Amino acid sequence: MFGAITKAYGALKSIAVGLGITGRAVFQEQSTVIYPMAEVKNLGHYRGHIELVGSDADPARPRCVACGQCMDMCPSGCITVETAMAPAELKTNAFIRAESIMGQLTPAAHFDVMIGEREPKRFVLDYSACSLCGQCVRNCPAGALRFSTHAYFLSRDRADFVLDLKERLAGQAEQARQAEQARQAEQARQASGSPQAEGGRTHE
Amino acid sequence: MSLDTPLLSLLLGLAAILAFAGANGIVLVWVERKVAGRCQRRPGPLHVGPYGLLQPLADALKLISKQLITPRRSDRLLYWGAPLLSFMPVPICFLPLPFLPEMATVRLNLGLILILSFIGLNSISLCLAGLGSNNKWSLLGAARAIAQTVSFEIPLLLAALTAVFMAGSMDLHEVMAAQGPWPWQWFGFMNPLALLLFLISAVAETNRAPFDLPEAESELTAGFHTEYSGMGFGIFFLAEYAYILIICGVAAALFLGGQQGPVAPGPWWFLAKMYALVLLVIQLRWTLPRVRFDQLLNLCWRWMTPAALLNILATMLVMLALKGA
Repeated sequence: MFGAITKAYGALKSIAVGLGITGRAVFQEQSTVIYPMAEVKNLGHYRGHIELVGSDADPARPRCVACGQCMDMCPSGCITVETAMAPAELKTNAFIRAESIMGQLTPAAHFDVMIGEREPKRFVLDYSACSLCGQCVRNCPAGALRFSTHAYFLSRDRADFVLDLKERLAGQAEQARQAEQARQAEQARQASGSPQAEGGRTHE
Repeated sequence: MSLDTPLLSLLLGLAAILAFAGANGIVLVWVERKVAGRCQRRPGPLHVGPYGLLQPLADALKLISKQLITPRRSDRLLYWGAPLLSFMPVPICFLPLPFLPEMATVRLNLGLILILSFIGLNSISLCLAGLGSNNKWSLLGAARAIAQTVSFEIPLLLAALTAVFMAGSMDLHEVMAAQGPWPWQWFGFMNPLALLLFLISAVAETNRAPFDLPEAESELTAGFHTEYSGMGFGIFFLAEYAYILIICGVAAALFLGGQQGPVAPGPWWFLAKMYALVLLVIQLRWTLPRVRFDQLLNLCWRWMTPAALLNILATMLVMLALKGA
């Protein structure tokens, strides 16, 4: 009898605790985002289609050395790289070693690529065929590929998913340059606009 | 022409009850989805109308415009009779609810018996729906519905009977009048076990989660209404919300003093208590997971029925003692 009462009390208590949890959730901040009105801020974790990484010296120019290894590795055959000779002033004496996919079954076949000798004329990704396996990103000897955070990408036309990543990199670099200019202009405006407030403080 | 003509008052009352049941169904669908959303920290319906208020109307339009499909080799009469039978008792069950003494369509001195007996028809309609559908999920849902309702009607009736004993009447108006304006004068606070048993049985009786085994969408697709399309399903849905309201109204009148309140007693107190209980039932659905069928029957036969019997016995003894003193 006493055991039954404690058991019933435990059951009722657990119901009350559950009601408390859902009751509190009613007044808590919502954890979802209504997409067209707002967007999530954690896209850093998003693995979208691949994109080219800009070189350290010139962000508009890809790091890619046009070795073609990504083309070899891609199981879907969705990457097409057209090569051209790079401008003479970019040429270095450094080499990086690229491995052919042949190495997985047969003794690895290496070939060395001179950095700055060649560059991609066009770097075309057919995103409609890509399965986002990441073999190209993982195997790029120059570290010239990464996943983009391009999440809101939709179209009715299949042709829109054939991307020239080199053009895209140039556009991104131009956007970044303009954003940086705007930021600097804003900083300068603030600095000249309120010299008193800034001057009044001492930094030690 | 006076409003006192029995036929006219009956027609007006019926129209008012059906309008109330329909409007209530639409509002409660919105409330249910909003509460579900907020309990899970998402906004719920948002886009149709202000705060998504018109979403249930859009849903109803969609349901009405859908084609009514009768499954092959089903029993047409049972299949299409079941949703109608499910909704038919609703107006009758609303009759004795004590909204306003002047508004009572028919004054009944056995109101509680009327409600509890006609609510039982709902389980027959679920059974017919399951039998007529020619679908194993529906049949399993129907079997569960019958077993569940037959079990839980016992503690439900015993708990209601406790309040009836305390008031000495089966008329909900008189049960209400027997309670005082302050919470400690309500039967639910004098006898909390009866209120608790009544609420748990009510949730089971209306097939609401955590006792929604006849539907059990993760086990039986949609249980007894698996095969129903369009308004066939819509009527079951409407009837479900009407029954929730009725049973919560009965609980409010029996145990929470109905129209009695500390200030300005009146029908608004009854409505406020009724909808507070409805909100509790809705929140329970989004808090608790569904019980297993053996757990459900164990709960009824090994816990609630003995507790209800002991409770009614104790109530009788206390009443006798008070009378003797």
